[in-house]
Amino acid sequence: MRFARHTSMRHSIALRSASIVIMFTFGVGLLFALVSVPLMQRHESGRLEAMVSELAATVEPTVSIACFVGDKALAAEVARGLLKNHAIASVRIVAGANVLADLHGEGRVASDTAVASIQRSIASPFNAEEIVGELTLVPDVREIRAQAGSYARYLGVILVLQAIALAAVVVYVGLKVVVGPIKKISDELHLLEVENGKHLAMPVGNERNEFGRLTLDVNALIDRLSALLGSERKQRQEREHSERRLRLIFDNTESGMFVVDAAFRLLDWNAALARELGLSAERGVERSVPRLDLLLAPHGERVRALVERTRFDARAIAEDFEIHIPGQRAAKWLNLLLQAIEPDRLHGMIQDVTARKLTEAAALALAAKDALTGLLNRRGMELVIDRQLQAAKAGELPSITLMMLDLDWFKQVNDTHGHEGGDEVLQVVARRLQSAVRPADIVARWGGDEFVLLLNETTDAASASILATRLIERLSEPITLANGAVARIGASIGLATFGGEIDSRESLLHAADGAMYGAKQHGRSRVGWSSPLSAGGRAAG
Amino acid sequence: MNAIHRRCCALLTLVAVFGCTVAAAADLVVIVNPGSGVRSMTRDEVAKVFMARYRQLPSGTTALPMDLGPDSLERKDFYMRLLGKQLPDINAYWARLLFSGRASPPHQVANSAAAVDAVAENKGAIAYIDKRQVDTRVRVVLELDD
Repeated sequence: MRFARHTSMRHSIALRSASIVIMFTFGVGLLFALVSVPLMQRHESGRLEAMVSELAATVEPTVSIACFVGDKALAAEVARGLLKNHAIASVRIVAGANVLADLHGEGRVASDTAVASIQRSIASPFNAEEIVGELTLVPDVREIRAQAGSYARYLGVILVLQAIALAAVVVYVGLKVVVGPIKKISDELHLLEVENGKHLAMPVGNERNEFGRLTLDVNALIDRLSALLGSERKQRQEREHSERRLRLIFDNTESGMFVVDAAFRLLDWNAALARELGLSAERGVERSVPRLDLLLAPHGERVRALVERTRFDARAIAEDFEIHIPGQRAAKWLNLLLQAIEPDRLHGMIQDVTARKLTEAAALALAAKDALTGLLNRRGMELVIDRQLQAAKAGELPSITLMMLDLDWFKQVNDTHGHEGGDEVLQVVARRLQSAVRPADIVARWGGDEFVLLLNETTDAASASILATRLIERLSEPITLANGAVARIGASIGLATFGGEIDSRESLLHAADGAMYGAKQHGRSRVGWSSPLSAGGRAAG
Repeated sequence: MNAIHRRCCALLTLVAVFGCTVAAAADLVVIVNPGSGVRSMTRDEVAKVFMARYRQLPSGTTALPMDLGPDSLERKDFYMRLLGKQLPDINAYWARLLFSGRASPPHQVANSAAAVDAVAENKGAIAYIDKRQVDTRVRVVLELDD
C-alpha cells in the first residue's frame, strides 16, 4: 500500500513535469511550424529563383549558340534538359521573331505572380553587345510549396524529437534529483521514532541544497521535540508521584475531605468524611450523588451561602455547624472549610470540633456563674439582661421586671459565724430564691449579699410585689448552719420595670437599685418600686 | 668579356622574338569568287557566315566557307583576329552544333593554295588565306590586319 502510494507520487511529479514540457514544446513547435510555412515559402521562392537563375546561366552558352544559329533541335534539347529539373514548369527560347523552343513540363503548374519567371536576354557567343535571343524559365509553384511544406515538416519532426528528448531528461532529472531524495527523506520520516532522538541521514550529494537544509531542519525539530517529550515525561512522573502522595493523605487523614461543585454535589470524598456524615465509604454505592447542603440538613441555607461566597473568593472560608447525625445521640459540631480551586470546583475539609465546642461552652458557663452559689454571676446576668432587653425592644416580650435584693443583717452573720457561716447563708439564700421563683425567672448573685432577679414570667406589678413579699418572708426564716448554730437575716427589695425613661440595662438597674435603697431607708425587709405608677408597691411591706 | 656575352644573349633573344612575330604576323585576307557578286564584306558578315548564322553571302549566293587545316597557323590567327577566340572555343562551338546536324562547320582544305583553288572553282566559296598567296582568280573582300 505504502509502496504503491510512493510509486504513484514518484510518477506523478516526474510525469507531470514531463507532460508539461512535452505539451509546451509541442505548442511552441506547432506555432513555429505555422509561422515557418510562409517564411519557408518565401525562402524557398528565393532559393528557387536563385537556382533557376543559376540554371539559366549554366545553359546560357548553349542557348546562345542555338539562338545564334537558329538551331531548334539544340534549343529543344536544352529545354528538355532544363525540364529535368522539377522546379521548372516551362522553358521558352526565342531568337528574334523565331520561337526555337517552347516546352512545358508534364503535370507542372506554372507559377503565378508569387514567383517571377526568369527572363534572360541571350547575347551572341561572339559579341556580348549583340542580343540574339531570349530565354524564359517559369518555375513550378507547386514544387515550391512542396519544398516549403517538407521543410516545415522537417522542422516539426526536429521539434518533436527535441520535445521527447527534453521530456526524457526532465523525467530523469525529476526522478533522480527531486523525487529520489524526497522519497528517501519521506521513508525515513515515516519510520522515525522521535522518542529515541534518531536523526535523518543526510542525502548524499545534497548537503548544500534545499534537501540538505530540510534534513538539518527536521533533525533540529527532532532534537527539540525529544527534549520536550523528555521534560514532559519527567513532569508527568512528578505529577503522578505528588498525586499519589496527596491521595494517600486524602484517603487516610482523620479530617473529612471532599470535592464539591457549584450545585453542592459531592464529587469525591474520603473515608473520614464518610464516617463523619454517615455516608458510604465507597463512592458510587450511594444511589444518588450526595449533596453537601442536604447532608448538613438544618443549615442548608448557610451551607449554600458559604459555597457561593467561597466560589469567587481566593481565600479559604470556614464556619461551624451543629448537626444531629441520625443514629447518633448527641449533637455534633463540625467545622467546614471551603476553598475554591475553580469557580465550579471547591475543595472542602470537615473536622469534628464538638470537643472544642463543649470546652468553649463550659468555659463560657464557668465565667458566667458564681462559684459559691452556682447562680449566674454579675457578668452572666448582664448578658441575660441584654438579651432580654433586645427581645423586649423587638416586641417579643410583654414586659421585663427587674428585682434588686439586698440581705439585711448579713454583716452581723459574718461577724458572728465567720466567713464559712456567711458562705453557708448565701448558699441557702440562693437555694431558697431559686426554689421560690418560676422556672423562667432568672436569679443571679450580683455581688456580696446582693442578688438580682429577672422576672420573665411574673410580668404584672401586683404579682411581682406578691413574689417580692413572699421572698422576704422566705428569707427571714431562721437558717441552721452546719455547726448547729442558727442565723437570721432579712432582705430589702427594689423593683423596676422596663419602659418609659427606663430604656437600658443601666437605667433599669439604677432604678431597681434606687427602689431597693428607698426600701432600706423605710426600715428593712421592705419592698420598694421605682415607678410611681406601681402604686402601693412602695408603701407595701 | 662578360659584357660581350650579355650582348650576344640579348641579340639572340631579339632575333628569336622577331622571327616569331614575322611568322605570326602574316596578313590574312578573306577571299571570294569574283563571280559571287560580292565586292567587300564587314568583319561581322564574315564571322556570321563562317559561324553558320548566315548561309548566304551578302549577294544572295549560298555561302560555302572554307577552313584551313585544323592546326594551321592561319586558322588560329583567323579566328583570333575575327572573333577574339581560341581554337578550342571554336571547336567546342561546332561540337555543340554537330549534335543537331542542322549547321555544319566550314569545309576543310589543306592549305592556302588549296583554298585559293577551291574559291576559284566555286561561286559561293569564301576562305581566308595568307595575303601573299592571293592571285587574280579570287577577290579579297576583307583584310584582317594585326
